Amino acid sequence: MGAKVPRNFRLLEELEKGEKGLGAEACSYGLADSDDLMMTNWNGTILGPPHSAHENRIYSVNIHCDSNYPDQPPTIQFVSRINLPCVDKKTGKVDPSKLPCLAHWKRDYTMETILIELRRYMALPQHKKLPQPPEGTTF
Amino acid sequence: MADASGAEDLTITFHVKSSGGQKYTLSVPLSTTTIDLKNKLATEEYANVPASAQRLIYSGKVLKDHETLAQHNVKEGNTMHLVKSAASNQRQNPAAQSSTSNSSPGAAPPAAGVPQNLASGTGNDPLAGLTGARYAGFAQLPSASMLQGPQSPEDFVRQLEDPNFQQMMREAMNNPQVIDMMINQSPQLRAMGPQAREILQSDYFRRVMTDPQAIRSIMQMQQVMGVGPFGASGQEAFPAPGVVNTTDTPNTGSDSNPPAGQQQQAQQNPFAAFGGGDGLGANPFAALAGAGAGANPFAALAGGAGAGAGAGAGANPFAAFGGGAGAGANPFASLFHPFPNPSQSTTTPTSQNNTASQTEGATPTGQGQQQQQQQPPNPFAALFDPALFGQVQQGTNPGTTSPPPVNPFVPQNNPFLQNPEAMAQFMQAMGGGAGTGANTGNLFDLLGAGRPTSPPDNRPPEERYATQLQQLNDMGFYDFDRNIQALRRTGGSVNGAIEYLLSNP
Repeated sequence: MGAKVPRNFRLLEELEKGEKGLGAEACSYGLADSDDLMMTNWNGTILGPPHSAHENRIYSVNIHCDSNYPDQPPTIQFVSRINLPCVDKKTGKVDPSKLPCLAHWKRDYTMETILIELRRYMALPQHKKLPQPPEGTTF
Repeated sequence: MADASGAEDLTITFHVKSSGGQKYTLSVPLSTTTIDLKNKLATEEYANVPASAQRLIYSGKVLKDHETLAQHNVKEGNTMHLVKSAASNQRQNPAAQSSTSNSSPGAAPPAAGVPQNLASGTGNDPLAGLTGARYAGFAQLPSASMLQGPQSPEDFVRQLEDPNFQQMMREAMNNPQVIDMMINQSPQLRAMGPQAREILQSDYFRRVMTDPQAIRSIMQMQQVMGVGPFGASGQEAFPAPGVVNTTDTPNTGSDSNPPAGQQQQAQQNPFAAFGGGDGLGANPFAALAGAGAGANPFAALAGGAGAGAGAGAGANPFAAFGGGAGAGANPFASLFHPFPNPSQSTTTPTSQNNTASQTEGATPTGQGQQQQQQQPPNPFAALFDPALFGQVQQGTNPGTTSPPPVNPFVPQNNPFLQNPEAMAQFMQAMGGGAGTGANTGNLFDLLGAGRPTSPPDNRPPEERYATQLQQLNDMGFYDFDRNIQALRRTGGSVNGAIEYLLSNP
C-alpha cells in the first residue's frame, strides 16, 4: 500500500475515528491525556459481548502506544478486573502471545482491531462463561 | 482537562450513539455534567432510559456523573456511546458466581438447549458439526452426525426429531457441495455418477432420510427381530437398490464394505447369484432385483394384469419391476404370466415370502437356498436366455467368487437393459431407497424391511398408498417419487394427488 503512514499521523487518524465514533459501536477509545502530543497513552472501553458473562459490562483498558507503534503492537492493560486467559491476573496486562492479533501483529492493525479482538476473545465459547469478578473492581 | 477554564459556557453539538443503534444529537454547554446529560437523555425525546441505567462512554472512558463535558474534552461533532445497563440484579449474578467459583475457570457448562449464537460456539452440542463454521465451510461437514454413524440409531432418531437438526439436514442437502462430499465419501455413490446426485437431491430421499417415525419403526422391527435371521439379513442383505450396482469391481462388497455402504451386499445378497459378481458390479439391473426383493415396494403396486403375475410369484424380484415400470403398460409384464414360480407357488403376501427366502439365501452358507431361488422355473429366467441363465446358476454361489462365464445382465443379453425408458423409470423410482441406504445406514430398511412386522401406520408410503399409486400409474403418472409425494401431501387422496401433480409440474 505504498508509503508507510508515520506513527503520529496514524494515531491522529485513530484519534479522530475514536472521538467521532466512526468505529465499531462496542468499542471506544481515545487519548488518555488530550495534552499528550506524543499520543502515547490511550483509554479504551470494550462493551462486554452479549450472551456471555461480560454482557452489559464495560471494560476499561489502557493502551500504551510506544514509539514503535504501529510497527509493534501497543501494550494493553485492563483497568477493569477481568478473568481471561490472556489477561494477567495480578496486573491486568494482556499477554501478547495469547491474543492472536497481538501475537501476529500487522502494521495495519489498529487499536480498534485490538479492542474488537479482545471483545471477540471474551465471547469465545471457552471464555464466555468464565466467572468474572464483580463489576467495577479494578486491577 | 486543564483547558476547560475559559470555555465553560460554550455550547457544543455532539452525538450520542446508543447501543440500540439510535443516534441522538445534542447541543449543550460544555459545563454540563455527565449526570445532567444523562437526565437530558433520559427524557422521551432522547433515549428514554433512566439516568441511572445509562452509561456514557467517550474516547475510551466511562464518563463519571460529576465530570463535565469540558473535562472530558468533548469536541464539536464528536460522538459518545450510550450503553444501557441491564437491571442491576442481573449484573450481580455473575459477580456472585465469581466469588464462589473463581478457582474453576471454564467449569461452567453451557446451558443445554439455550440458543447460542454461531460465533460463540456450541460446546458439547452434538449438532456442533452442523452449526458452526464447519457448516458454512466445505470440509468435513455432515460427516460426524450423518455419514459415519458413530451414534446409535436412537441418537440419530432423537436428532431427527429436533427441528433444528431437520433444518440443518435440509440445508445441508440443498448445498451442492455437501452432496458432492457425500458422493465422494461413498465409493458406491461415486460410481453411480450423476444419478447419485439426483437421488440425493430428491425430495423423497430427504423425507425418508429425515422421517423419525419411519426410522423408529425400523428400530422397533430390529429389536423385535433381534439377531434372528431376518434381523441379520433384513439389515444387511437388503441391498440398497440404486447403490449395489455401482461397485466397479466384482465381489468387492463382501470383503470390504465401505462405511457408508452397509447396504451393499454382494455376498449376502441372494441376488448376487443372479449375475455373480459381475452382475452386481456393473449392472444396474442387479440393483433393481435386489431392491425388489429387499424392500419390494412395488409388489404392492403389482395389481395390474401383467404385474399381478409377478406379485404372485412372491420372491421374484421382477414382481417389483412389473409394478414399478407401470403395470399394464410394461411390455415385459406379460413375460411373467407363463412362468409361475413353483418354488414360490403359495400366494402368501409377497413380502413374507420375499424376506423368508431372502434370509435363507443371505446366509453365507446358504448356497442351497440360493440355488432354490435360481430354479429354472423362476420367471426371472424367462427374461433371459435359459441357457445363459443356467450357466450363471452353476457358476455362482454367493459364497463363491467366480464370476459367471456369461452375465445375463449385460445389456445385450438383457431385454430390460435395452429398454432405457423402463430402466430409467425404475431407477428413478428406486432412487429414494438408494440414497437412504447410502447415507443413514439402516434407514434403507424403512423402505420395506419393516413391513412384515411394523404396525400399519408405519407402513412405507409406497405400500400404504399402493392402490392409489396404482391408479396414478394407470392414469399415466409414472413418476414414483412425485406420486408418493403427492399422495402424502393429500393424505392418500388420488384426486388431490392428481391436482397436486398437475399444478406442480
